[in-house]
Amino acid sequence: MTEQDLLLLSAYLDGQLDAGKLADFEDRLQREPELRQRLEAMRETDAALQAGFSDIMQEPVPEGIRQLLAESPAVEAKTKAPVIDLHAQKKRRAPSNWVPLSVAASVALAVGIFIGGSQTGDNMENILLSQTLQPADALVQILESSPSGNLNTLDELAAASVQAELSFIDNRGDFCRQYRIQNSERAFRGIACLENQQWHNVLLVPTGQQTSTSTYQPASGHSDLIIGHYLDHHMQGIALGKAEEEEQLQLLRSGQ
Amino acid sequence: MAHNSEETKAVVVQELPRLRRFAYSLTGSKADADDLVQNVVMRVLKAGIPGHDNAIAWMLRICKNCWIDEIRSRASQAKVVDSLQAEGGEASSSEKQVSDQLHIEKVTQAMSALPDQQRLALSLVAIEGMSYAETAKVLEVPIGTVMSRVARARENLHQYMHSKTEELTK
Repeated sequence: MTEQDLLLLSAYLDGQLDAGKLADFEDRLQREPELRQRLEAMRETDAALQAGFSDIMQEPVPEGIRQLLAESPAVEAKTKAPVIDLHAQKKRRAPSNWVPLSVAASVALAVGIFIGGSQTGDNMENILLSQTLQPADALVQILESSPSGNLNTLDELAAASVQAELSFIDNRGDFCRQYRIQNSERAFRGIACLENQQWHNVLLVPTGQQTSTSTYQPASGHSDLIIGHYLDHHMQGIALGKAEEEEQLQLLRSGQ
Repeated sequence: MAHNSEETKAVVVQELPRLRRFAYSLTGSKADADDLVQNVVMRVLKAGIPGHDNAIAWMLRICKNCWIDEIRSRASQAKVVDSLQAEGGEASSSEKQVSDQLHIEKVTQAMSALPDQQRLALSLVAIEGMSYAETAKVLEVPIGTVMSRVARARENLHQYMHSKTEELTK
């Protein structure tokens, strides 16, 4: 990997290449697996950085700082309950608050999540640990066939299910789906995108559990923020309507 | 036109989470980050925020300057880097609480081991999501310098994390 390639990769990741260089570089990415692997590694590191340093944003503001800002009652109230301001963040280009897949996966495994796929628990581990989903994965089957809102049972014994929640086209023009995967104990929300006919998990965050098809437990606000923030920065236009989504699914079924 | 004091306070409160995250990415310690932020908040409240400038960029620039002043005066940065390089994270291993923190800790360690200017540039671009042009304004350097610092920072992180992974699997 030359220094010039590292510069190009880094600038590409940051969306800073001009149109001419962008086209050339994307062409190289198609042809050079090493370049793609390094890009993926950079993406994961960036995501880990964002996750690693973002937890302080949720912690109570220290007394010393609160006192400095305390004269106004409104200010006092806000500093006692710091929140991530999505309007301020909309101005930014890159996601800055989402949990990388690897981190979510480690959390999932640490707490013992074991949502069996239609086959085995190992399959689920693969889903959680891999950014690239295999065509045979139960999750891929659902992403490629199930309309948003339909609940799909993965494993009746484990009460494991997957529900696609919405579909959209991202800034790169790829078809993406937001989904929820859960068993009786844990739940995650994820976003997967279809790039070069291969599904990639780009986001996976722990979330509150859905206790029925219409009732949600509270305290999933953080995951909503993370997902919302990701969509703000990566979704092209608005989410696909029912007919547009069905059109995309039809294309997938027909292998196009 | 500068913001008045109430407006300034409101802007500071609005941007406080980002300011804290940026400070944390620079110091590698939440306690040090909040000390740094307190210093920044004092300065911002005293000086106000110029109306012609992007408020968050202005505050991040002050934060950057405060941090550089601190590490120059205390030489604390050298101690942090030395300790990380000497024992490969042993100091922080005592702070590990659960295994799901390992990955995050490795990244934050790696960040702390970066040269100051690379850490600043990478934090603004990769964590704060600023463009190279915005980052160049905060750091007061040319855009090309930002580009190369960010790329070198990423490469150094990659090398650092790769070496730590090899150590763990030996």
